[in-house]
Amino acid sequence: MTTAGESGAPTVATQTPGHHAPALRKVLSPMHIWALGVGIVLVGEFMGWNFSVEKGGMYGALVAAWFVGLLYTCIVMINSEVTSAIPAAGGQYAQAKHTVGPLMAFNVGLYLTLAYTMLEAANANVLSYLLSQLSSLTGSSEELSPYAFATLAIMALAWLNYRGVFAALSLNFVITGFAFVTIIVLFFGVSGWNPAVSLHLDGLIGSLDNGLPYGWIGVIAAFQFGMWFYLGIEGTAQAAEECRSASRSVPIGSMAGIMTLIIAAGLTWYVCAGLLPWHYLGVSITPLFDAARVSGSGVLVLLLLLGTLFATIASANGCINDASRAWFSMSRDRYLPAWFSAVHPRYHTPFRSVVFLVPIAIAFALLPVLLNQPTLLATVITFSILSGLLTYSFMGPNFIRFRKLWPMGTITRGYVLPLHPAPAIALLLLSGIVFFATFLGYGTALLSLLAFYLLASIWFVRRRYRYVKRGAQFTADLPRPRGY
Amino acid sequence: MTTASILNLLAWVVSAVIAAWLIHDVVRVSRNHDEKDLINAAEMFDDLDPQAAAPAAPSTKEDGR
Repeated sequence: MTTAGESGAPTVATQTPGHHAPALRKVLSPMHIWALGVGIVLVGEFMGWNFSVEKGGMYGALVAAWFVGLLYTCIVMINSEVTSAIPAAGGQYAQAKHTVGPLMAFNVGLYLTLAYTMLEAANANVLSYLLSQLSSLTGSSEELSPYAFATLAIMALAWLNYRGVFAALSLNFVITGFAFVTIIVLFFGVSGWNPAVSLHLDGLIGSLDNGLPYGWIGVIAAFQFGMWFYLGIEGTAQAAEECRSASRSVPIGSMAGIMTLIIAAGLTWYVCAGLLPWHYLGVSITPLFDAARVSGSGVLVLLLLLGTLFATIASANGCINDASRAWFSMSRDRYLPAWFSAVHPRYHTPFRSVVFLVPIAIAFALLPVLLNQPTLLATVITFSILSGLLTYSFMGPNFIRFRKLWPMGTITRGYVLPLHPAPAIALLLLSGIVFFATFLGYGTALLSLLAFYLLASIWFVRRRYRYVKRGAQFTADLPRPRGY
Repeated sequence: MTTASILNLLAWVVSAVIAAWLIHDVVRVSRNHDEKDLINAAEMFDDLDPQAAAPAAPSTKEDGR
């Protein structure tokens, strides 16, 4: 096996003329982009968003869903324009290396890899919990091992991603679609169009205090969990390089994705608010499933359990795809050893990156169980959320710079963001507010994570920066700005 | 042996089989193909002479423009 060494004799090897490097296969359509984006996120509707109810009450959660929904709509629109012009694996990482520079790009790449790997670990952990619930629902008193099934989930999905992106995201389309349909079925199953039948919204209508028990500061505190409704939709950009037509697929898939999520968020909030007492909803592990149980319908209970399971699998599957693309992209630009940038000659996937991240995800998935520290799972998820937030805070200024480097009319864009620079400024402001909200709840975790990224940046500047070739990493089909 | 313990064992066995297949395939591909046929990059390997890569060294200005 020939490996790229990090030290030793100066054996510089460049691609010989006429040699075509193996590439990721361009097979994806808007349907797959939708499946990737919504697939990663939809699990947040089935669990997680409801902690915003504990922080801010029912109306606090609703305001958080709208407010954070606006933040993510800005993200999707910005992403659509930039990705249609820079359709490269790595998504926001690829954007950063073209518009800002290597140090920013390294940080963004690391945010993305960690955000998706940790979310994948959390999903695997939750999946093992759901299987235990399923086992107990069938009347079994025996306990399934969380170690075995969390490991199996990660291994099986890694295998699927290793074998090809088309099959992996086609599966995501089916199971994500099923999970979304179960939310709609629940709405119709409880006659959601006629609240008088089985929903109990009288308390919320009666007094504002019932919906806002902690006032407006509670609403601010709810923002950090409002992110669960949409967290991960920006991952659609990671698949741009594998689209048959990225300038068409990414905007269509991403826009359809955010619309799906806003509809799902509205339905989820409405049904849960009408069926579950807010004190219970605020601490529930599986709110939609619990809402189905309250409805008393066996069919709805089964459907929502399957919906929760499928949404969790889809999320883990999408996370493996996105984390491996971010890692692969950093590697091919020499931010990491080139060994990881290999593409499988048969499956056309970044196979070494897929395999390398498997033990890391398993470690994070099993650690809370091994150490018997369930709160560690919340820490893993928080690290994922904070890494995502750091990416969002970069995207607003990055877009302003993107438009400055390549003004309108100078390049072809598959989608043009309207009202520029309002969405970019709004995104920056909204990210700042959500950061503040997260700091209220997870200040120590936030500072720890910033310290980690600072140390990683120092490592990059001291050990890897020398390998980065600025000219070679400008891969987009765009006019080169001065300096490249 | 209970049903749960059989399922647990099955999950471990399937995980082990998948892990073995993945590792085997990574090694097989690396042995059967030259590295230059696998690496997706403009240049094949890291430039091992730091002096040669000096122009890319960090400057006080992030993007160097």
